[in-house]
Formats: sequence, C-alpha cells, structure tokens
Amino acid sequence: MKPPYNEEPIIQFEIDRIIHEPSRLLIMALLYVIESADFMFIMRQTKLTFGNLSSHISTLETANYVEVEKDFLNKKPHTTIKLTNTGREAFQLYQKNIKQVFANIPD
Amino acid sequence: MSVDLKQIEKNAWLASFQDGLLDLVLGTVLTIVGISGFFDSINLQIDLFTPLLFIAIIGTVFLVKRYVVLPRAGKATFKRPRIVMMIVMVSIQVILLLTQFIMFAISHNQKGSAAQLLNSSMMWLVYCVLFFGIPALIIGLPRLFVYGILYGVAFSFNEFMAKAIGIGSYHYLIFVIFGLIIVTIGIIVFIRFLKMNPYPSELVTNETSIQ
Repeated sequence: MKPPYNEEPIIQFEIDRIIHEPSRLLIMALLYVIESADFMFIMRQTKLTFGNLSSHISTLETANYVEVEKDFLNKKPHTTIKLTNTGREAFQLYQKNIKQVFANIPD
Repeated sequence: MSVDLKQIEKNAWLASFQDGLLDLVLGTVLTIVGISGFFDSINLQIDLFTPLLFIAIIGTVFLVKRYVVLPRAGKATFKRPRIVMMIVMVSIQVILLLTQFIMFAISHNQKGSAAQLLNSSMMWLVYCVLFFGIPALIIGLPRLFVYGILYGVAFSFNEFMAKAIGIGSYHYLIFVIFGLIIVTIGIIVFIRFLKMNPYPSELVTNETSIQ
C-alpha cells in the first residue's frame, strides 16, 4: 500500500558540510575569487584567529579542497594557500545546491 | 556574514592599497618637485639632488613594504582580469604622460594671450585629474581623485604664473604645501594600518604547526 505522503527525501542533494561551516565558507569564498594567498592575508580578510584559521585550513586540506605550500620568507616560515580543482568544483556545487534549497521558497 | 563574492574580491584587492605607502610616495614626489624647482629658480645647481631623493624614496618604500607591511597584512595573488586591468591602466598612464611631455615641450617658454595662458594651465588640471582619475576608478581608491586635483592645481598654477609673470621661487611653495598634505594623509593611513594590523608574535613560532 502506498503511504499518504511522498517518500522521496525533501532535499534531493547533499549540502557539503565541510564548506557549509561559516568560517570555512568565508575561506573558500575568498580563495575562490583570488588566485592564492598567504596565511596572514586570509587571517586579515576573514578576521579569524590564528588557531581557528589553522584548524579550518587543516580541515580543508584534508578534504583536498586547498593546497598548502610552505616555504621561508625573510628566514620566517611562510604558508601559501590555494584552492585545488576539487575545491573549486566543490564550491561551485555548493553554490548551486544552496541556491536550489531556497529556489522554491516564496518571498 | 556576507558571501558576496564580488565584494570579497574587491575587499581583498583594496587591502593591498590600505597601507598608505602609495599616498606617501605621491606626496613626497610632489614635495620634491617643489623643492627641486625652488633650487632651480634660485640658480642653485644640485644636479643629483632629485634623482637621489627619488631613489631613496623608492628604496625606503620597498623596504617598508617588505619588512613592515607584508608581514602584517600578508600577500595575495589575483586573477587574470585584475592583472589585465592594471596593465591597461599603466599603458593609458604612459600614453598620457608621453602626450603631456610632448605638449609641454611644444608650449614651454611660449608667451600668449591671457586666454591661451588660462587654457594651457587648465590643460594641466584636466591632465592631472585624468592621470589620477583612471587609477582611482580602476583600483577603487577615490582619494586618488583628490590627489589628481592637488597635483593639477599645483602644476596649472605654476604654469600660469610662469607664463604670466615669469618663474618665481615662491611659485614652488604650492607643490610643497600640496605634497605635504598628501604626505600627511599617507602618514595617517599608515598609522591606522599599523594599529589595525598588529604583528602577531605567535605566527612566527606557530605557523609551522599547520598540518
């Protein structure tokens, strides 16, 4: 017997929870619109603390969304972060999905 | 929180110009033009003064950018459209500069009617506003318009006075005054930048901890 309600899930796609976290969304958005940035630049732009940013970058790196390059600048450690192709595609998909979530809600 | 991508990109781009160094360079250049013009007008020949000062300024700005600004503000590379826009902007400025040099060479030392004098000095004003107005629009820094007007007024005043009554040493005072106004703005912006971007000491020791 067919149930009186629609069995299909209401949201038929997955929202990427790695990107969905507000701080990571901001980091991803920033890296999406520029080519690359160092740790300090991202910290200034997102206004995140050192520890917070470090932890979020690690999460994004584990998901292969960002590429972290370490070198030395003026004898000090310098970290450059860049969005990977996977990260770029994931961000585009996230944009598309999040638009769809609100597409059918009347104003 | 806003995820306006255009605004995020614009903020990131403008962050590179919020250290006041551009203002300091522009202000110092105008001041040096005034000082060297003054020395010239009193027949004091110090040939190496202007080029040496320019080299000193460029060197100082380079060092301050590298050792003071970048460690505090960080660095980013931008996408191709931004780079192309900067190349277009610099090309337009070079063309404007060459045009003005040619016009200046043609009209230099020519005496004319009051209307002609006014026209040639007004040309300086228009030229300077254009020269600074284009980067003001492209970079997105409205205060460059103000600098264009200050440069324009200084040069057009000097041009008008030089052609109307001949070069007098006090004419160059306007360059120094306007230059120092721009330098003051630059110092204010630079101090604000230092206050808003303190160097986090933890970064030196902890940055390697990013996994």
